[in-house]
Amino acid sequence: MRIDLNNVLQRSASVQVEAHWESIADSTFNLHNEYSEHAEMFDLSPEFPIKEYESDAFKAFLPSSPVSVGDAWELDSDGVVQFLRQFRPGATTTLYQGKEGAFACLRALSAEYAEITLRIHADFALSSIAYEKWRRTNSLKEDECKARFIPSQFAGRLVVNLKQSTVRAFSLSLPPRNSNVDINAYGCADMVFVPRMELLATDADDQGGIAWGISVTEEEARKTLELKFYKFAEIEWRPVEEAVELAKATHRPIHAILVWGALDDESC
Amino acid sequence: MIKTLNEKFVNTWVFLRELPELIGGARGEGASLVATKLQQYYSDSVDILTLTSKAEVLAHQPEMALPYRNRAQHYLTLLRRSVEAFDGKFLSKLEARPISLGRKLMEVLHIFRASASDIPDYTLVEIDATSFEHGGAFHIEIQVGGGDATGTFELFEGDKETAIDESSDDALTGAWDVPPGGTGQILHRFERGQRFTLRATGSRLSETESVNAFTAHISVAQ
Repeated sequence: MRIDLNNVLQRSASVQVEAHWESIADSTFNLHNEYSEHAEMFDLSPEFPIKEYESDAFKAFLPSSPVSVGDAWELDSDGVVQFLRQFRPGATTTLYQGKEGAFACLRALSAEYAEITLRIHADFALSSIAYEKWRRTNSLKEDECKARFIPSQFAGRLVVNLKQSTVRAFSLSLPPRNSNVDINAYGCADMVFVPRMELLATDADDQGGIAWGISVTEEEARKTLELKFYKFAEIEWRPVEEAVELAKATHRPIHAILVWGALDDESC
Repeated sequence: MIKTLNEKFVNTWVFLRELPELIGGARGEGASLVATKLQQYYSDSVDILTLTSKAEVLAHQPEMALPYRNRAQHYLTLLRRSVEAFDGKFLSKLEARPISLGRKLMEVLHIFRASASDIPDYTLVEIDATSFEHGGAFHIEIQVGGGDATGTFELFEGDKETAIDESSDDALTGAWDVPPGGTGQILHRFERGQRFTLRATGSRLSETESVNAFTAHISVAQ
């Protein structure tokens, strides 16, 4: 069953989106705290803790042609970036390096609701007076040694009320795993943990249960999105303890990769 | 490649930061053994190992030391040789020196010393890589002896005469503060055949005039 979601957000209702951005709580090399200048630059908080959006701004996450449950589509980066700039004006989906992109997958559908799973890769240009002075002192070119805050990914969820043409729920956040941001500054890099960086909106008047008609699991939707970014996601990766047991049971060798950051996102 | 990995291997990836927890047994004995080997062979930001389920190492290949050209083909070669080793019966021999894509270039045994004055005391090892016309990737594995000194090992372009005058800032890369009994890894890609020099000295952590021995296994992957 295919559905055309392109025009479901017609109503010019506004949606209030909260932004949460907690401090770096852990790191590998302590780059963010090495000197007071570093600490100042990485003391980050949302540019707009609360922002109102017209509901049709959320069209940025909808497909331009009919889709079925489980289908994925690419998002227009301009539409996506306007949300990320609630965190910081220097948000961009054009990465200095790594796998660029923003994709969505229709996870579930009922007569009244559609749920869309999101995955967005982005980064945030940082700056400070001390950092610009350091760049000038070192005669760096325009794009050399820029300070960056690079989230591993933004994982998101959008639930649209098809009958009322409204946004029931929206979230876009860092995955909670320990090493979810790569930071670059002063010619160095580090992998850090930010406990919460999230955009969040809920419609308080629309909180009843949903009986989904057709759906794929959250895990399946996430896998579909991961495959849009990485060919190697086709490899059957397993947690190390499972890999050892399976290797014993199937009499196969283990192929193990040791990495500084997560293999399947942009945190390293 | 993906077909080979899915059919012939069981695949896993591990965070460097997870190793202490894994080695401590948080996720079972088997995972602890594998993590211990990953730690033991750790060389750089991305390390590739193939192992048996008992954590016997078949192959170790730092990603930085993968050859420049035909990387997928070389990776497949590494996998194929791992399967051959797994199916064979020579695992005990592999533990000492696992399969890798590098070709042994030289192996040296030397001493290094921490200088007693402001003038550094360098041990210089010239590496002739001129035969690698199209470049390659060095993997230098350093084992420091049981003496007193902690070692710093730096790689420079050029011959001994050039390297002796260079500042550490000019080093291509290095392994710094390698303690007695410890190992260091140097990985470096080069684009054309040329000479390099490995410069060894006692690190700032060493007592002045302390001495130690080291071995360096130098291999190149093309």
